[in-house]
Amino acid sequence: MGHRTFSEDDYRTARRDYGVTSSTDVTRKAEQRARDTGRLSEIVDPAVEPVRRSLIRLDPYQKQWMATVGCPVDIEVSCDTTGSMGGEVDTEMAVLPDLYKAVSKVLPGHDPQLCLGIFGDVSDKFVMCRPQFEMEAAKIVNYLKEMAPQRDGGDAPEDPQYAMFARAYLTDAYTNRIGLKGYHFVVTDATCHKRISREEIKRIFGAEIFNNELENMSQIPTIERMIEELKKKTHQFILVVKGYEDTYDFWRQLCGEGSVITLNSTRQLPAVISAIIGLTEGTLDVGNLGDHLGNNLNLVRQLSGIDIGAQAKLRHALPHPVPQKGDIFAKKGDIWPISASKSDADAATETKTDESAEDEIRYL
Amino acid sequence: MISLKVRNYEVGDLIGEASKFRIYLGHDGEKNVVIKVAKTFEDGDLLAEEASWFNVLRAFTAQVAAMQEELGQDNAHYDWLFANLKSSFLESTQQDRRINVLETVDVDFNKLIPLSKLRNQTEIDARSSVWILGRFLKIYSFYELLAASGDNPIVRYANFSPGDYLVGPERHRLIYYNHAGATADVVANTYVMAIAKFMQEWTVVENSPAEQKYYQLLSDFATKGRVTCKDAHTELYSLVNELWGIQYHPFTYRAQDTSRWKTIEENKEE
Repeated sequence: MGHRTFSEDDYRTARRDYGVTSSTDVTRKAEQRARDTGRLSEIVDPAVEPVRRSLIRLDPYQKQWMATVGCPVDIEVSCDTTGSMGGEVDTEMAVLPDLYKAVSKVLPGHDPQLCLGIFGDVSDKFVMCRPQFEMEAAKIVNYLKEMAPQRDGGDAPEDPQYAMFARAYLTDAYTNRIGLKGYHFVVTDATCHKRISREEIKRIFGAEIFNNELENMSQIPTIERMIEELKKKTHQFILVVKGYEDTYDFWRQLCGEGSVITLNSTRQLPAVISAIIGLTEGTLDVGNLGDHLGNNLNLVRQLSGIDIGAQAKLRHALPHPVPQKGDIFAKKGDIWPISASKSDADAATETKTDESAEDEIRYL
Repeated sequence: MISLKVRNYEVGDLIGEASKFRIYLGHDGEKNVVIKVAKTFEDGDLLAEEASWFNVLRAFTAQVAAMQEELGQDNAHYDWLFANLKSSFLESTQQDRRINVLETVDVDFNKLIPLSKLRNQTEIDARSSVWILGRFLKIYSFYELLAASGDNPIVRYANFSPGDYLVGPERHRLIYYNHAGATADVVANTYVMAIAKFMQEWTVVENSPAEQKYYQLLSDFATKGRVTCKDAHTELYSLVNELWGIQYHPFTYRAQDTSRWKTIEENKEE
């Protein structure tokens, strides 16, 4: 599966090769094509091979398999492209190098894999675009330019619930296989419809979805149940951009207080997303949070409310250490590398202290 | 002697311990710092919470200072009231136990003593108790300001615990440096009462009319509290101005069960 990761040079080359030379209207051609053909490009159409995959990259090695990069971390960002947020694919494209660089910094030794999608309204011809998880600049630039934002609406609520549904039920992520979580971000300035319908699921993910990938789904989940499932699989966040107070309250009630962050601009996405991931993984020095966020008090306050170290806790509960670059797997589909076991040092952390001790400091 | 180093910090003597962390003196190459080490990985949650709290305090003190500068007001130096979080990280060489590194602004850790320790060993005179009470009320009125400044889910008062503060007697510093404890909703009354009661028990009040008048206010705070800590702070300094004027008074104390008063003042220790 190779070992290439994102680089700025590759990004610039890819933009040139794909003719994405302007900073605006990067999706103009794809939008026109979608209007003419009535179809989305296959690489962003959620109905084409609906399950998105984020897997560990392995290369053959002496009749076995070797991890070429490290443990993958799936990061899905779904952006509202209705009304006032119609130009967000341009923004996603523009902030992409910063985003990849920022998340790589807080995921040392890991393989960040990005699925940057968009969503609109169920009244749109295309409700959402969802690419594969990718880690190379050329592939990400390629799928971004193939998006077809509908740019209609602006009349909240919108329909990001299907993007959330896709991560909850139509994703095969290595993080989930080993007991960790990926990351899911919805970027919006509006509330959402609370309805998930069988008809819309078929329209978005394909007429045969309930005969194939979702054949075991006898009942359509409520939005609350779907979010519960999403939270089992991801550290899930709603990033509200310049939203009204009721938008923030809406999402806070639906997803929980620590899951909703308000931003002034989508330009803040790389810093905010990487800070959230760094705090959750335990890799970002909390003392540097202010610097990381440009000393933005509002963001520092909000990010102080998230579950710091949540992924680190999951990591500590795993039966084996998280796979690293160079680890050997017996077979390609294996979850854990050969002789993966918890080190003595890890085991030592399981020693408990006396919980009944007093909390007051005893000075010596 | 071989000293233990964690990242860029030299870890020195153990100075205190709570149920979930230990506190060491340390050095960052330039100045003394305090290093708190969680006892286990799981105990690190408490220090992560503390780190978040100190981040918010730092960001807000900076915002207030910038606002005061813009308005041409004197800097209230709220940053002197709180330890500054230098670093908070999971240390892989210590089984991912969280470590918080704290520094103080404008005063060295060597010049500071835990309030609970000082309280247990000494009694203080009325005018020394004034500035300590004043600092407490300033800290809590800062929280009121913070709570009023925006939709912040984590603004709650830290429960009053003397062990969470350091005192710098020479320069009249009271520094909040430990947030690894419980918090409660913003209700000023309870805190004014708790702090005043603590000061009342620590202070030796003479029979002079001025000290008696101060004691009356302290008693009133301790029994009735005040609607806001800011109100209490204003009321305190209005009385102090009337009684003694606002001026430096060296920290004056005596060891428990003795009668000889001693003083500690800036650049001069008895």
